[in-house]
Amino acid sequence: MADVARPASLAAQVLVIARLRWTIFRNRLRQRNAAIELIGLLITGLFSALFILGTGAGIAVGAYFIAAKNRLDLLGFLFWGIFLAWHLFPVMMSSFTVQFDFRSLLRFSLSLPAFYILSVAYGLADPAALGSLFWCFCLLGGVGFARPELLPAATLVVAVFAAMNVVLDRMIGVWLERLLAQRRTREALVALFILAMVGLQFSGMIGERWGPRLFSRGQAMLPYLRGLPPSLAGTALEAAAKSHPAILFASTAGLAGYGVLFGYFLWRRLRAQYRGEELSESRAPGKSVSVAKRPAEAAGTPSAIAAWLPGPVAAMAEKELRYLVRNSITLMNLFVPPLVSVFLAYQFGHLSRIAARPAPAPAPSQFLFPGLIGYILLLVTAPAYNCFAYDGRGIQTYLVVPVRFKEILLGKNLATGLVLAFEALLTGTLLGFLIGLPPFTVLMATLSGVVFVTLIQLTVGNLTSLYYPRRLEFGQLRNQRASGITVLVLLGMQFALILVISGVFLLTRWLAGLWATFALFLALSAGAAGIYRVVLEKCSAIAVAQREVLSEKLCR
Amino acid sequence: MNTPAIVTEKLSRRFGELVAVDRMDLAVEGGQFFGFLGPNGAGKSTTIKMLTGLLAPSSGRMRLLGLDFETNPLEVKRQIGVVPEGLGLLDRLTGAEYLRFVAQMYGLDRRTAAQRAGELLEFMQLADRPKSVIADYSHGMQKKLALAAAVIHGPKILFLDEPFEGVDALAAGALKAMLQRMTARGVTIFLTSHVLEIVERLCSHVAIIHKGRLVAQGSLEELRAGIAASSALAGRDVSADGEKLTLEQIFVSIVGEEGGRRPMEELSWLM
Repeated sequence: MADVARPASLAAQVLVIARLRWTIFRNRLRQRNAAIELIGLLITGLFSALFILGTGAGIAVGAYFIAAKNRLDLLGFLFWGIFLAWHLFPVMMSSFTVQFDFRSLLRFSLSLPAFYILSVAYGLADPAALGSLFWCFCLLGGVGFARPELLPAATLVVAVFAAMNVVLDRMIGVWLERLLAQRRTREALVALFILAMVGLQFSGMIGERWGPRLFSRGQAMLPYLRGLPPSLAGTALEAAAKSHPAILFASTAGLAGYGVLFGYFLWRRLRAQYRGEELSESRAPGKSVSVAKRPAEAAGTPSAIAAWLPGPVAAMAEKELRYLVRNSITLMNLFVPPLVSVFLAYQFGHLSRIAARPAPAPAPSQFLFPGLIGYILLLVTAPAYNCFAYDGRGIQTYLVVPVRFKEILLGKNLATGLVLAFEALLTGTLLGFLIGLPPFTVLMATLSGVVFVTLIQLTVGNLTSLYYPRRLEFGQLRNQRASGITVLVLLGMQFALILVISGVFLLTRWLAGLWATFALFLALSAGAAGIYRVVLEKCSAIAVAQREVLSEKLCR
Repeated sequence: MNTPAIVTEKLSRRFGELVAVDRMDLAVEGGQFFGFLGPNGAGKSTTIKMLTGLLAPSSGRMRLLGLDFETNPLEVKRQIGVVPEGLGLLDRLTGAEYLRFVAQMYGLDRRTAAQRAGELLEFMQLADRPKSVIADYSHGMQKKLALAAAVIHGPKILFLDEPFEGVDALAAGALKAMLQRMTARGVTIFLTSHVLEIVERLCSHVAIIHKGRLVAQGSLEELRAGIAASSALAGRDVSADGEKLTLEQIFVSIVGEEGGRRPMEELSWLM
């Protein structure tokens, strides 16, 4: 008779998962390139730790003075800061978390409550959550040092606030994953973005016509913010300082109520996962499409891009564009620059018109245009540093077909260039419509600078993609990161390029004018094109030498 | 005299201390349906990866259709088709998009690529989900698509790593018929499979690898004769019922002799 395994206790399961995460992390450091990875990880970690410690110190000092000077009505601002950081930073700070598909645990005998608690614990293990939790302790410490008599109440409020945030953080994560998993909801979200963007174009007009009335309405809305969790936490502590136990407990109960509400939505999502929900790109197969087509029709038609490019490069560029529009995360990134350009155009355009009344000021587009194009560059070229990330096992296709990697990379780079051109054109058109085009010299200097920066970024990106590839999951937001060294190279390159561009602009503007900037960037672009070509030629040989690393890192 | 399809000379591959493939001398003639067998971890996939350019040999040489892989990688790749171990699909494309992509990578023009992709989708019974991306296909469907991609350019050698695993019986029958027609037309098929009945039914020649070393190679008849002769010398009768030895018996006999340590037969908590 075979033994039947007894159910493990929840504590034992949590311990097993903690050990698992540690083992995954330790094994990763034992792999090839581990030393370089570790250096990248340490440097990124060091900067993040400095940021967290510095901010924590600021929060502690702030909380101390707020409590000491009996201005506890201001504590709400600190709670708001922690709250926003807790839920906005996870995406940015996911660059050094261990990748682990939490849902894979469902294959084991795990009850739904256990799965729920493990999920919350898993959320707490996120570096962003740990950082925010540390800030909560700093706030508590600051208040406790200044007003020891408030420590019990502050501990209660901060604990409830932290617990609510842990649950909310996980809830946002799992719901976002759910919403972005299917094409239809993704399209709806994109449509919302576009609507918001279009709506912003009318905000100036609306502001001018109904501005004062809207402002007073907005002020009237402010008290309602007091009902939101960070304000409630602030109110609770303020009430504790003023010895109003009823308000203290009501506010804390309200905070806990939010926690329960978020916990319920998290429960719903996790219950669906527990019951076997599979998030997929397209809808489940319902009815089959009748097959009365001729074979060529069954294969569909190639897109127009294939018509004007040579075979493999065209195929690669076409594939990249298809991947781009099917990946919710990269697709959303495309909508950010136009949105930001409209927002900035309104902000600065409005200010400049006011400033222009007494004395004519330079057109804002003169500054906005280069700034926004630079922003687009950062956004669009960043994925080129890990350009095989979403190919996964498909890398084997590239390795077995009779095509050199220089053509594969050229196709990928071309797609990046097309996206960049589209984004720049869209943003330029929006700016032109809203605040006018920049002077011709600025336009030319900016565009020549873009060519230079793009070529350099793609050159370095091709190398990091081959040397430090890292697989990313399609359409997922959390725990998706390039390798530590890639992140480091990317940041270093962007910093260096910003320095070079600023230097060129300043030097030529004051020495010889913007035509000289254009000429200098043109010369730099010619040099960068030469380097790009030489490196691209070498990429085929590098790819052959790196084929095992590529397979190992991307096929797992 | 015909050029052999695949020839390896002292082909080796090491992973640190581990010798995955040890000085392998393999010869496969053109038009053969060649089965490459071995227990788990014997070095089958490593060999296929080297022969298809996915892995660099540590030492030794390999020639495909008379071409040295090291010096003519693109020409060799043009002549071969591969279904690799992990299938190697770009899983966010639809089946049709992927097949057209692969065809273009092999240099086919757009019209031919679309024509062949359509035919293959029909043949593999994958044409009824034109909008589904590959990630939403079942494993068997993905395998059929990988096979379709491997033959879209009309290769002269086809490398198949476990091609029938997860494929339904109906599709497997059509695939086997297609592969047999291909060998009849001179295409060499190099196949690994753990299902020895399939190998026995399809393959004319077989090689067995064990612990990285090639321990047997030849036609099924040659292997049977070899086993019978060595058994007679040892005074054993490997075919007790007097019938022809099956490939499974040949495999167990060869790998068992080479294997040394016998696997455990019982687990303490299942007794």
